[in-house]
Amino acid sequence: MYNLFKKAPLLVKLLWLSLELAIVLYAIFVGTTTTVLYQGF
Amino acid sequence: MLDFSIGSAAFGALLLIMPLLMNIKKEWRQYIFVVVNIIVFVLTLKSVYAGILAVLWIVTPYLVAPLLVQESEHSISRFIKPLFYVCMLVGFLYLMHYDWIIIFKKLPYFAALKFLGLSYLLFREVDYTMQYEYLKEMEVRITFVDYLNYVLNFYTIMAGPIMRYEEFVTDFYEEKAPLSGEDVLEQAHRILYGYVKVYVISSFMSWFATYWFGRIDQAGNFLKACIIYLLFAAFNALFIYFNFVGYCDVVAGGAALAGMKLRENFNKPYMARSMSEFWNRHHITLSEWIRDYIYSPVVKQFISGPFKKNLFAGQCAALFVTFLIAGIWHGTNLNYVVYGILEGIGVVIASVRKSKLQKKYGKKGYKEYEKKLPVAIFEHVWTMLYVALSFSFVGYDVIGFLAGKV
Repeated sequence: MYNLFKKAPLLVKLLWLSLELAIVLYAIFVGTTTTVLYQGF
Repeated sequence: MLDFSIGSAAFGALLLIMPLLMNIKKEWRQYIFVVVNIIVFVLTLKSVYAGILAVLWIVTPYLVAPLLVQESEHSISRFIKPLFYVCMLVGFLYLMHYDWIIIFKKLPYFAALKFLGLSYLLFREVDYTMQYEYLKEMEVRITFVDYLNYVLNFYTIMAGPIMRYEEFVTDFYEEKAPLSGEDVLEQAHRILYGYVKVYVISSFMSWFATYWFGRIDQAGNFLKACIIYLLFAAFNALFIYFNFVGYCDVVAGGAALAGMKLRENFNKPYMARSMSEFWNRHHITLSEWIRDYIYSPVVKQFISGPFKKNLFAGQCAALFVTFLIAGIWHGTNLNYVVYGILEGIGVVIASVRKSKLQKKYGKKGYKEYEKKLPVAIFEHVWTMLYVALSFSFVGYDVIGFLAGKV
């Protein structure tokens, strides 16, 4: 995945990051109740 | 009390702000970083008493480290070293509140005394005090500000990676070329992909694991129950992997944007062909820490004492003890004791098998034997199964479940 991102043109990279950001924000604020392991040890 | 998990607004804001703050002026970097680290740490404290205890917990190793070096010069200081580490261990066990240590059950427990990153602070403090003499010899920069930045580093305080003092300080003051636009995009991708691993992929895995764990009861027969248990264990192992590797990606990417390089904690662990190899690829910084600070002293004691006549048995016993302790560190209930025992047995089996095969085929023959496809498949499958089964005790109360069945 990292190599693919590295080779992608700038516009694709920006779109890729926007999509990831949207997914992450949705997952954190709406979609998931996942606990993050180890944290707070 | 501030929520400082990687999904919190505070952590997200710091990921964005720190690269800017750290670049205000080169000479101010360590002071800016220490101020941020202290603010974060103080805001996460549960009470004033936790603050007082945390100051003691953090400052004492810094003050005591020079005394530990002088043990050969003063007869009294010979006792300081063991006393210091015993005090730290007892304090740690009490604050973590291990529920199977009976003596702690009889003592009053104040949850408000616990502070953020207790485990990882301990790892760093042990490293600092143990390495102090070497650091002085090598003329590694030691100041109170650097020490605070090392132990309180907000990127790694929650769950590592466990850096060593020398590598942290060396990296912190190393001249680095400014990040290019490409570098920034790559690190941003690492952070966001890390979040996807934690909050999307591991979340799905966790859902499946919980789903199958709840179905074991309804299996009907033993064989079906075993298959469902395996499904639960596999999804739980994947949950643990994606959750932790995602967290490491987030903090490593964030630190890189702020001009710091963190150690890589994973190297494709599910490509491992034995439990020993697995632990060299999974949570690498913990494996190295326990190798240096638990395995090495234990094996030294074992092979000079009870295992004098059988060094290999001594090494195996030390491996077992090391992984048992590492397992117990992972959690405070009995499930983690079983997890530690299983990890210990797994690593010992891997060592014994390797030693026997090397004796049988010779070192060159063993390498040829390892290249055979059926052997590779068997080793991969066995390792994955063993990891999944041992990891099933992490996060789920399997002992409680089994006790309910008996």
